Amino acid sequence: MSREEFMRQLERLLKDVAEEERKEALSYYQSYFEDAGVENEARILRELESPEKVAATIKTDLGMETGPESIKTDLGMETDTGVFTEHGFEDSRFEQKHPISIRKPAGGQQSGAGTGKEQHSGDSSRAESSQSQFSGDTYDYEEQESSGYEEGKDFTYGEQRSSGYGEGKGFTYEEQKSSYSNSGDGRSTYSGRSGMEILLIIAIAVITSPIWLGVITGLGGSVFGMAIAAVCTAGALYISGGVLFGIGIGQFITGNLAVGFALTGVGLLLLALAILATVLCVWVCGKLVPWICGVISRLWRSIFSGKEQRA
Amino acid sequence: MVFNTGAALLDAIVLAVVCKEEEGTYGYKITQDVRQAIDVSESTLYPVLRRLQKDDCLEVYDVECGGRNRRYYKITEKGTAQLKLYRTEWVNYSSKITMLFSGGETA
Repeated sequence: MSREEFMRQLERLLKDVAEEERKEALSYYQSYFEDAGVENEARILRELESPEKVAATIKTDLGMETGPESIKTDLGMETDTGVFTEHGFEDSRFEQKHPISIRKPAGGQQSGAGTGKEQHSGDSSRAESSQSQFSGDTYDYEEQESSGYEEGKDFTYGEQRSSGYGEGKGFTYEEQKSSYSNSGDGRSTYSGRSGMEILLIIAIAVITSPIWLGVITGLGGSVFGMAIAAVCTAGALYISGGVLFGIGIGQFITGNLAVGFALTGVGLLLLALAILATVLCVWVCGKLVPWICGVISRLWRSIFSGKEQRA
Repeated sequence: MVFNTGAALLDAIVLAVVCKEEEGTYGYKITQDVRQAIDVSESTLYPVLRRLQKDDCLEVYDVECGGRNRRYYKITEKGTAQLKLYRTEWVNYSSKITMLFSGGETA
């Protein structure tokens, strides 16, 4: 990514930030690149990682929510997820390598920064106020220190554990698979149905034939009937719509304006209904019928699949 | 590094760095100077500088430099007072930790 590309993306990502803040941030990074010089450009781009991360850092400091909601709920975190460290704002949402970094105390840095800010602003008596600022900040500092450290530890642990676990799982799975194929030597029970089963199915089918034949015929008949009815309705509507429209035009010519308007109006309405019916026809013929055929054929195949495979 | 730098310490370090330059200094240089002490990424300092600016600990002014504006940061009176507090507090904190680590006399 080039520097221009980076700045463009950053600008786009900061669209929902207040105008003043956006300008500040953009001009900061603009001049940062300029001061660093062309020779350092690649290194800085690499270290900034992505416009998304920079934008998230800026937004988080402004107390804006960032990141998609779903990820947050996935991790089970209601509030903020980031921690300020010397590596900048570290957000578990960016570290996708280890999805189990949930052991972060909620209300860590961001709330700390927020209170710090509140304490900073609007103090007049300096000595006392800055003392309180300070204690507030120290508290945050301590909390972070511990949480950050724990997080670091978690990270290595997590990775080791997960990789070990993965291996273990893979191994047992392999074992299971081989034992399964060994036990099923020769006549595997899962490759098809036995002759007895097929016979049983046929016998049941024959015995219950009055029921399912009736059901299938009924269903097929009603679908067929619906299709025919839809076609007929559409046709009738077209015809009557056209005729009424024609008569209406005739009435116009003979000078009977009111009747003419009424008839052409009704005619057009009927034509509209006809088009609707056509759409319905197309849908029934194009979707419903093939679907029913598919269901029936799948049913058929599932009953006799075993037999076919064996033969 | 094993130890993370919290927001307060980062504020203190930035204030100290800016304080050294009487004529003020700019973002890129601040980052490079801070990096002599701790390993910060390029994106870390903007929010810190912005916050300190909003808290009136730093003031900004633009200087024309080679056909463009460069934003300079300068420490304010409030920032200086804040830094002084940070310094005393740091001496307190670090000496206690050092004492503990070195296994010195326990009070």
